[in-house]
Amino acid sequence: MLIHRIESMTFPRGRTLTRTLVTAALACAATVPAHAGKAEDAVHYRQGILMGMGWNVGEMGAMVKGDMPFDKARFAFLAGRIATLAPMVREGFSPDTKSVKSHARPALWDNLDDLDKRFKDLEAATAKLVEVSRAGDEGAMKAQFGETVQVCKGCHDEYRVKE
Amino acid sequence: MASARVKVWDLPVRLFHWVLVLAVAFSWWSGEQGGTALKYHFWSGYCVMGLVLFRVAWGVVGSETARFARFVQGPRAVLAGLRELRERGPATTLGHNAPGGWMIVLLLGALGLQVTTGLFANDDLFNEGPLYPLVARATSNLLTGWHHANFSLLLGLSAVHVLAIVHHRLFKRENLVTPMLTGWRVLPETPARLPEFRGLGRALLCALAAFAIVAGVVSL
Repeated sequence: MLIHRIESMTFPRGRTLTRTLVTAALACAATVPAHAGKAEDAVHYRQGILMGMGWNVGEMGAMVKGDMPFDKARFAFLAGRIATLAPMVREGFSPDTKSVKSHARPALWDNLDDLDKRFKDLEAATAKLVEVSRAGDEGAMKAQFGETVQVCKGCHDEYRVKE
Repeated sequence: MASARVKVWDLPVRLFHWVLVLAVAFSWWSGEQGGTALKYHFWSGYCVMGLVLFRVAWGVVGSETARFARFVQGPRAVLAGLRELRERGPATTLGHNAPGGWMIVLLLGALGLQVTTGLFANDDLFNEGPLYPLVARATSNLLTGWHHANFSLLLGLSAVHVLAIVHHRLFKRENLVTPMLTGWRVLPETPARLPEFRGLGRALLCALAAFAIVAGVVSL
């Protein structure tokens, strides 16, 4: 639907299609939180992204704990993955998912500003993890990993029920 | 007034008690930290598990004041013990009184449940208990929920335990902390029969067996 709308647009002079598409996509992302899918799909979406993060965090954690050898390149690669996924989660907490049974505590829906702040913190922490991993100091990588998972934990403790 | 010093708690019981206090306190702290600090939580959990197993063994083959058969009593004795709490003056029993005895059973039971559920727990990040691979994820999640809920119970029981000590100190004018440190209690007169104690060698064997079981379970 998005594509149709863009194709029917007239392009101002000097603007490439790509640039217009990017601008349009950004505008959509800024104004429309989620497309009009089923609420359940949104829940699956956010759970999938979080699962994906968990998968990668699991391997990084094993390296940090010493359960497997610390491979800096691999660690940096995994850090890149979670930094890519982190900004994608918030979208799945769309208002229509409030009524879908999930691990989200009801309190989450009364504290969306706090949720936003926590996801901003997560983005910042994972971005920093990528930066630190590029620099390649093992101690700093482990320390920033610790900082990052504390952001995860903070939100889990506050808004996630185990069962 | 004549008074008598009587030995009530042997070294194994006292060591068990105070190391347990430290291990539980440390487990609480490290558990709250979570994340990368959880590895220390695992170690203190194994320590608590070993201590609980040791205490159970010592409660069967240990010194008289440590034995379950000696201090676990029926409802009549428990009611009598509770009534005695309202009277001033030191307790008439040498070791645990009947309500206190049941508190030991409850505390050990809650601690046992805590370490058992912890073995299967996960933190949704990158820490899993050593027996996590043996169960389904849903089971692990359920047991993790119990691990959290049971800790509140454990804190509640500990609070009652400490309040009882305070009650003895302030109302009944009896210090129960010092005997747990030194092993000796001061009584108005020497009791007709003194408790029997078992040797440290036997305690050491119990401790070795307990920690061997922990090592075995953790590496399953």
